[in-house]
Amino acid sequence: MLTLDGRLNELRRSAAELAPELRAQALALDADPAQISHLLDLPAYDLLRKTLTPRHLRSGTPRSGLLDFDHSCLAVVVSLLELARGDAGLVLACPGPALAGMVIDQLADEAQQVRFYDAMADGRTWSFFAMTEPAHGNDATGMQTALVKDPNFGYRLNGVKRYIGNGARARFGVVFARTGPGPLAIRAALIELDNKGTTQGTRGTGGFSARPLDMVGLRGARVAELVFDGLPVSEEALLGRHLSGSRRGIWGAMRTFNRMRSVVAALAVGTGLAIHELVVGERPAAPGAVEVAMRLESCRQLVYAAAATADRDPDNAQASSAAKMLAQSVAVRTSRWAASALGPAAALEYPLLEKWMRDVRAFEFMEGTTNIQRAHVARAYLRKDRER
Amino acid sequence: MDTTVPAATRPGYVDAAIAIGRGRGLAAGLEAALEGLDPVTVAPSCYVALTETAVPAPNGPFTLIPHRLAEHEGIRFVRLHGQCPQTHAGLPPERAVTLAAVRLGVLYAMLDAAIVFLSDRTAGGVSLIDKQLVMGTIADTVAEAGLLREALTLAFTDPAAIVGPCNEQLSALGWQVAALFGASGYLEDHPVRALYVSELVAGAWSEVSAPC
Repeated sequence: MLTLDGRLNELRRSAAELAPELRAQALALDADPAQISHLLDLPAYDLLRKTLTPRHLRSGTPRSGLLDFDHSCLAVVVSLLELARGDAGLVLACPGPALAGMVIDQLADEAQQVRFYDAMADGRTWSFFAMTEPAHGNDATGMQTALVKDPNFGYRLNGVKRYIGNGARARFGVVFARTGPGPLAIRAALIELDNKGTTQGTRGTGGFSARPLDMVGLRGARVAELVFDGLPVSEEALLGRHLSGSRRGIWGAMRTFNRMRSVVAALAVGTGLAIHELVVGERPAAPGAVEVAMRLESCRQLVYAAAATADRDPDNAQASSAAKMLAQSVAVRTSRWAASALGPAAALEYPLLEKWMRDVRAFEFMEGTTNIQRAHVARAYLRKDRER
Repeated sequence: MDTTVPAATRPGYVDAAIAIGRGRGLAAGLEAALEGLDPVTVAPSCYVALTETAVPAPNGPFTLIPHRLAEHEGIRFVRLHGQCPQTHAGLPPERAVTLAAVRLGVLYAMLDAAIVFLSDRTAGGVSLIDKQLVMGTIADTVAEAGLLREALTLAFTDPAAIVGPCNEQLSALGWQVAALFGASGYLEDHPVRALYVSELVAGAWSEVSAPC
């Protein structure tokens, strides 16, 4: 069992204290994800943004010394798990570095990092991470979005990205695209969009448009489809220019995924814990409550361990894949248990439960499905077995 | 035909309900399951699931619960007011079997759609339908669905004990099938939402009344 140090325990306590304010807004944001402007000054969002920002780039007034924790995957996971006990949809709706920041941490040079995190600090700027495509999902080998050389701008970006969190409201984004055939030709670009042409619900700028997608759950994330139609991208916008050729693109993406999976697993466990809390609040002696709690706490430990592994060994895919696969499954099963434990029509009587029943399914589709994770876990284990 | 056997025990009865779910969808199946019943009398709780055509006239003693996914399926959730609580009898056994069999039919329809979807997609140059993990999921679903059909044809022996677990298994299988569509199945306008809505409908009608 991994023991959190004093700072991480303080971070955990602070996040836990702020979680209820997210829960209080959960149903309203689920009903209308566009209505978010009144939430931007939530203290929970301030903490979340600081958690996701490297220590040396954090700004603002410290809240009881809370700027003083490492920017580790473990710290992110500890914080997000507690905030997701409030509501994961609210967590994903928060303006700030989000998943794009994890790519920036891996691939951006110092100037790019400063530019990105400075922009995120205002608490009004969203970012997106665009990898998934309509025809091939997260399969990088099938990626079709392309950065085509252009004598005037450096490159032009063409292609379609789908299921992109905050895609329709973000000003900054990291987009993965091909500069040619083969895995080494996949690069990431940090793009900044202007607000010209903003229209209700859909933004169109020269060479870029975003269309919000109505999803079943986690609707706060305002998932969108992005269309790049010759969007100019400068050479300076490419990430990883200071890195060797083999470490500029997909290598960074893979490392980022290893961290992201732990984060998604944390969101799943947090939601599972929220559901359990709802059930025992209504039915303290609900059948199975002790077993469900034990399963969720075991998952919490697994997720902490996976995050610590990502910090220690960033190329290790096994731990985060196993954690994500199991946490998602346990969260779905917890939601089903809750619906049964609370009696007939529980999902209709308790709207938060119904919302979370939808939300927990989203984790299956984030950063690789269960089958993808199973393949990662098996391959990693077999590789170690051969090495033994 | 052996008329001494209750209707719900005849495989033909179960298969007919499966066919409604598979061919005509969840709302048509719910309509068949509730045909001729007074929802207020049989409602297991203050909440009921009805087809949109069966919702009582406006200004009645009920509240409509907005639910986007259910509305896409032609189903409405209703909270009853003054009548609650009343008898809370639950669905008659054969109707509970009908509803579960309808859910099984919807599951089959979505599995068929998933197979078409998976056949059209590739990953790493290989058709998704040919991936062993995907084939394993399809095989598990088909086998479990067959087992559920058999269980439902036997449900008359102890409907309260059998239909509940069948519904729980249908919910688990429903999610398994929905996941085959990847993120596209998580879009609100995707037909596979019917499997999730059927879970809510079954939850609303989860109690089975004692046989007469």
